Amino acid sequence: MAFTEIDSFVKANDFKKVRQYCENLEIEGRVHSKHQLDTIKSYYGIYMLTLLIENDIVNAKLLYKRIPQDFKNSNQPLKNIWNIVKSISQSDSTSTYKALSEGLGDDYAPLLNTLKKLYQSRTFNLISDAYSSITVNDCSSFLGLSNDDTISFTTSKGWTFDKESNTLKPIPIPKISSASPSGNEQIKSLADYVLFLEK
Amino acid sequence: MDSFVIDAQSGNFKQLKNLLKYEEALERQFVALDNILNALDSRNHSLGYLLVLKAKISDNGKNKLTFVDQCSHFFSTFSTDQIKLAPEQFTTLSKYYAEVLHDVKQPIKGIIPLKNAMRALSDNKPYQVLTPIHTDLLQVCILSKCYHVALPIIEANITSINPKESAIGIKDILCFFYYSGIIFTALKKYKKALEAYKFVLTAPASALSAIVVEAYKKFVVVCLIQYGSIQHFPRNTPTVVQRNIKSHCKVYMDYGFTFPNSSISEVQQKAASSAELFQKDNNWGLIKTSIKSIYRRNIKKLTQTFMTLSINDIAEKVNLPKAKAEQFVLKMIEEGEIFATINQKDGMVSFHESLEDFSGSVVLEDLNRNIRNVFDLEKKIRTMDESISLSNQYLKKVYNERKNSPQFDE
Repeated sequence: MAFTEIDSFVKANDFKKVRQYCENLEIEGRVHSKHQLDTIKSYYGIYMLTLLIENDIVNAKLLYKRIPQDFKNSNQPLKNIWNIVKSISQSDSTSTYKALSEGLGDDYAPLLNTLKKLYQSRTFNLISDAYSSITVNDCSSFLGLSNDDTISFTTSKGWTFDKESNTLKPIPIPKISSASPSGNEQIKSLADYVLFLEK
Repeated sequence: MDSFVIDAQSGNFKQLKNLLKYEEALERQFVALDNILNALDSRNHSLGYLLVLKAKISDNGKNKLTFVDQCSHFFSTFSTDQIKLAPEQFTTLSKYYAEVLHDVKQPIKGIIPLKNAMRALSDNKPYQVLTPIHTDLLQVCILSKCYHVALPIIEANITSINPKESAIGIKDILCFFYYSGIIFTALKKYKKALEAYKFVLTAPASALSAIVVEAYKKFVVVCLIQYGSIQHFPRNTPTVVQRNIKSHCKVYMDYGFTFPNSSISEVQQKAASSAELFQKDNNWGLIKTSIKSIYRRNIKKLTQTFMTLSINDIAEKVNLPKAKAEQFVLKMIEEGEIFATINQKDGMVSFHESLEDFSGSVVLEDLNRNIRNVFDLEKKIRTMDESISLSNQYLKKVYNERKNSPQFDE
């Protein structure tokens, strides 16, 4: 199964467009012939992966409820993807990484890679903020790396490694503030507010 | 029937209006209806097509799948000008269409046709004018579990209706907000769900409606999920609702009263004792979510009393096993519900004040956005105020009052 239609979107890393394509396919396809029904079925896996990439677990679960039961039982890639959804929603990183490493074939590979990288970086950001000290074992299960790799990866990001207690000390990630509105825009807003209050 | 076909094919609007008189005749001729449909074109002879489809509603022997296909074709290709001559029949057909889709278990087929119909009946402003088709579309979205399709519609604050053009009634409006509440709840947007249910509760009423009762039951459970206690009625709830509704939802009220002061096991017991009733009302999933929300609220309360707490103590106080407690706290930090850092070396969790810097540009943008919303709201209220003060009813009332009340000397 080559997903030719969305290839260009995937290459450009534009997953919003992939999601829109899948959404429209699911709804419009039903009005037409059976051939379209098969196309829709082949896209369920991609649709679900895209939702995971956008971290939209609620809609991923709802999508699973919509998929017909016989397809759920017969299609192996979908079963694996559903395992990923379950582990992410239960915040179980060990099983998430395990499910992510199960090969699903070349067609799904680019999406799986993107998902793995995103999941890793999201978890990394989270534990940098949430932990003031974390054991190496826990950290390596969060990041899906071996203990030594974890130590080298985190120390390269500035964390300190405490050999005696085998713990790591994370550094919270500074929040990047978005650009503040320009002076002109701010004056325009203020002028609008004053006019409104004068009414 | 031939005269009907000839009339339907005419392009003259006056003649088309006369078609309505054929309604009863069509309902007596079930066998001929399919043939008549074949003779008509849904785009050019929309009104005739509509009347034939509507007559088919009362035909209990018809093939439902064919009927669904015929309606889907109609709703995707009709001409707006013609069907505007018969909005009542149009909305009756769309309501029945939604029901038949449920019967044949293919609700997802109806989404695009109904979207098209909704756009046409609301003068191409589906996010500003409410029509009964909005309600049917929401129903189909719920039945097919395509909640994301309905989200833009229910998030847009629709404020105008046009009863003459769209034949909308109070039942459609109540159902619209009831379904909005259900969709918001499914997407876990509990605050918006409560707002939607409040619309149902505060609709002017002189008698209690079943829709309001069901909305209140869900309102109670979502209140428990979001706030841990049942909110009071909004001030503008009609008195007939306030006085009578609690007697219909006694089980839910009792369940809600156990929340503030009891332990989790007591709440679980109370839920299990009325499980059958909750399942019958299709609210059992919500009840389970409300029990899960108790853990969150308890942890949140801990942040207000303690600066630091060991993970073991948290697990004890909240009644969770130790491994799960840390996972739970991590999840709450991820979702921004609490601000804390976990120290695994010492096994302690330190709670912080909100780290939000209220002078940042993000907050400024938020503030700007909310102020602009208020601007738009003010504009809407101003136009409504103008149109009311110019309306006949208001002027008559003012004139009568002036006449009857004594005038004071200037």
